[in-house]
Amino acid sequence: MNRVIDSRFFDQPGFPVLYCAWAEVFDKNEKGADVLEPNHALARLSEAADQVKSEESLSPEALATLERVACLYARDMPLQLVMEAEEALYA
Amino acid sequence: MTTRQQQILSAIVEQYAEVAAPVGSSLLAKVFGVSSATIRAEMAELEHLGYIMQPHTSAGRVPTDKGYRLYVNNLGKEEETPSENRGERALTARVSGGGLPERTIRNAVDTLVELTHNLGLATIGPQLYMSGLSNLFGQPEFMSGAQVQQVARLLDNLEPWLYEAAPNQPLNVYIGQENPIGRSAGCSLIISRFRSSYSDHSYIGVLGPTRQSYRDVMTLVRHAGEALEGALYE
Repeated sequence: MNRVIDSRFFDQPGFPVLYCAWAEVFDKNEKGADVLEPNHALARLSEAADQVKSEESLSPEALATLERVACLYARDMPLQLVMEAEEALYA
Repeated sequence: MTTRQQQILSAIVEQYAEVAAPVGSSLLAKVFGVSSATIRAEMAELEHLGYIMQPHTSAGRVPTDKGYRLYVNNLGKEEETPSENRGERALTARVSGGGLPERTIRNAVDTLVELTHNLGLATIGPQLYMSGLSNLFGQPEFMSGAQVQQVARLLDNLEPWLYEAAPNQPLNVYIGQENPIGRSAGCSLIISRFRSSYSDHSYIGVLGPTRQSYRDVMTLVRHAGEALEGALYE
């Protein structure tokens, strides 16, 4: 089955930072358990949000939308899949 | 409240837990074998009594914290089934083959995470072990950055609260606004107290959205506590 990725969000300022943080939160080990412990995961998400807030001129609403979509993408679209898609796009 | 209204409330709680979408009258009409108009009248009464509500975005209804509470209280009146279900058997196996107490408790938490798709937690001496945060953020209710701060505060408060409040029932269920460590986080905390070599007030349980399969989750959490006490308390 071919999967189509809407990559437009990855062009939004700050989105890749948020996506990477959420991807780490959803990352699983070989046993299917979370790689990051809960406290580390929460700290990682806060750091990413703080970084985007300080580096980009985003309204709180825009940041909230990016965070929501980053969470959704990371949950349903593993990092590996995104990398494969990017490779295919730029091959 | 009539028996049929209680049955409709139970159906709404269970259906909503399963599909994460507001429950409509047409589905319930099929389940109960009555007309949609009859169900709508019963749902209007349940809404008037504060047990269900209508989200702005849907014609269907979802349970309120008060509705969940009534449902959970009614579950407590049901007789327990004597035989272990598959999840309970898995917990028993993971606990009995656990080895050291710390490993055994971690195994029980990890099994609860797998079975309930919630955040799992347990006290191991003075430490709080947690696992499965991604399950929480995988739920539609928690898919926002704003929830991150709320959940972080909630988890910060959890450990000191457990030691201060020391809930004493074998099974303790805190639903939504009842949750003493984060009333606005939209979470339910379901914990079992058990005795271990660490403490007579050791805890294992789960934290998840108020939209839960309470019957299954409560059974598993209670069983986890009992299995750990059987394995770790002399």
